[in-house]
Amino acid sequence: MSEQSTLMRRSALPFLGLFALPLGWALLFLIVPYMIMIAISFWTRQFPLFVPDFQFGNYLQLFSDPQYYTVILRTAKIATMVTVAAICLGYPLAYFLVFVIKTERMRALLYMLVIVPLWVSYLLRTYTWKTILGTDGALNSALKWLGLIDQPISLFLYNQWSMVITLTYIFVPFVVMPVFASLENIPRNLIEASEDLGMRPFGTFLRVILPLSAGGVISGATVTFCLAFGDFVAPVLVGGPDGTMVANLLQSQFGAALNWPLGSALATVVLLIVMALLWVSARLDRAGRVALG
Amino acid sequence: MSKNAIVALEGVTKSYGLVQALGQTDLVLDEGEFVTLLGPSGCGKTTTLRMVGGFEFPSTGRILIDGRDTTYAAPFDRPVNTVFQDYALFPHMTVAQNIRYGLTVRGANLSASEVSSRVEHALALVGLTKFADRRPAMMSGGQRQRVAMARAIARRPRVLLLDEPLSALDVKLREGMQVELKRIHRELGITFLMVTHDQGEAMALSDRVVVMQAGRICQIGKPEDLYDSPASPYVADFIGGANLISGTWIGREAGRDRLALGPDRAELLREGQAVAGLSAGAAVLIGLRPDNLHLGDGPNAITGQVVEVLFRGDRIRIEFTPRGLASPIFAEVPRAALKNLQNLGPGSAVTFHIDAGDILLFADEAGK
Repeated sequence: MSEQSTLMRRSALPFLGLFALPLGWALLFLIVPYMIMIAISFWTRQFPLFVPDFQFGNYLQLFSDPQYYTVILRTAKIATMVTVAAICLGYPLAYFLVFVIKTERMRALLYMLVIVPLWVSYLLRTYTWKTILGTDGALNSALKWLGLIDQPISLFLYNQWSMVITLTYIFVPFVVMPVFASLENIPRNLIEASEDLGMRPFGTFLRVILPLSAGGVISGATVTFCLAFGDFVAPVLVGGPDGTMVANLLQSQFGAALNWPLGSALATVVLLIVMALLWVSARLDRAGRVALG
Repeated sequence: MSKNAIVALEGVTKSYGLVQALGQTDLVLDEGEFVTLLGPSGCGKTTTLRMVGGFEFPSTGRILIDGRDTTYAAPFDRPVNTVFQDYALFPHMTVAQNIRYGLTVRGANLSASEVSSRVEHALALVGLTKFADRRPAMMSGGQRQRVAMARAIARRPRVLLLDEPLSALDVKLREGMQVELKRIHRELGITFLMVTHDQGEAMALSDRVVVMQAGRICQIGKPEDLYDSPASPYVADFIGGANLISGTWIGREAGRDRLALGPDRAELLREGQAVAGLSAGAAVLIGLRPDNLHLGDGPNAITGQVVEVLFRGDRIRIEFTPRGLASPIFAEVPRAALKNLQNLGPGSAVTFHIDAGDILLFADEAGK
């Protein structure tokens, strides 16, 4: 016992030396700011000052004033729609890459093409959709050229649908990547075994491929939902008046509205939602891993 | 196709691009037989098995199963099931679910009670009744092997395909599973087609062995026939092992071949079927199985110098260079036989003899 503790004491110093930087980083830039944020969320605002306090008024306001909770609900709705859409597009794409494309080289090339947009600035990619969906945009021009319309339609842009389209486009690679990896990891002889046991291809997909790639879907969905939930740019560029999301509300509380305590409370709620989601996702993932051994 | 044939390969070939994996092959399996495809890796045995299973399609030729042309039928559309090399158990299902899987597919048409009785029966057959609710990940290699067997036979296939079923197990377990396999085959009475590179396994289990080399069938026969009268030096060496020595055929009289072991060395008399196409002085390959070389003087004596003595428990392997030969050959003698001969070690003189009926003789195609 004593030898062991000597060993531990001896290695304590190099241990600290090794991890001081990451630990210090996390403390200074993550934990302390969260603490400050949570503390401020209990303060009261006495315009133009914020007074230290401990009361739940800010949280109460968030959940009673429709101006706030509708934004939270809308954000959750949009993030859910984006997640579902990204999986519906990303899963078949990953499946196609893994099971339909026969040559390794072609697969690598197509995979690169899916990933390459991530190299382009996120802002730029969002802006692209403004150009596509706008009244002078590519979609209206195409429809006009086809003779389907004679006046440009303004319905495409500045609503929740345009946000869902834009965010889905941006997050599809985040679904393709983990799903691709999980599909590639399925041993091919499991698929052969399924067919050998009399299962047709669609049954094999439902009972072998889908369950064994669920981990990839879960991690893709988690990343997509969290990123979409906190998105700030799409609402500003393509969202329009009824497209405000939590991130924009936050920004206004710390900016124009000058209500840091309320903003902090909102940020804390968002943090809790995301953490709950990550917890559920980790639980699901672990359950899946236990099942797979 | 003969009356009780269950699988027939007719002129089957398989090529991948320019590479031919399997040359023109004809093979018929009878109902209830245990047939093994034996050969080194790359000989085409696995390709053959996979074509019977429906995982690969022949480039030319036909495959008939139970009288029906199944050359291009999908795996789910043929009355065969496979025990995969690394078992291919579904990791997200329990043992019972794995076995039930093939009984609940469209076309199985089994009642719920029939399904569960079949699952129970399959589990009992492989002795895993207590493990029904385990996941494969929580089981040992031998147990997984049994689950794979149970899952395949629960479907009641006409033919069970086994792809190197025991290769992933350690030696002791493998021997136990060989006994199991033989028992299961006898109890089910269905045809087994197994692939292996282990000649001992093939000999121990099979009714017939198909020896393959480089995409061709070299010889088909009962294990004892392959051992006693191999059709080629390759088969002689692959089945049971043999020292292959270049020699000369002197002549044949009264059903006996006169052979010179090496150029004008020790003479051997061989009893057995005549080898076609030999003329006096022809180069031949003489096959001497290590087991058939007996210590001591006698007819067909071979004397030489010991190179090494290897202890193998109940048997002793002696490497020795016969007089007049350049390279050493092996003999394997029971330990009891060596007890009388003390001090046998590298350098000592030794004499072996071999029964005339045990000498294998082949025309030496390469030596011509």
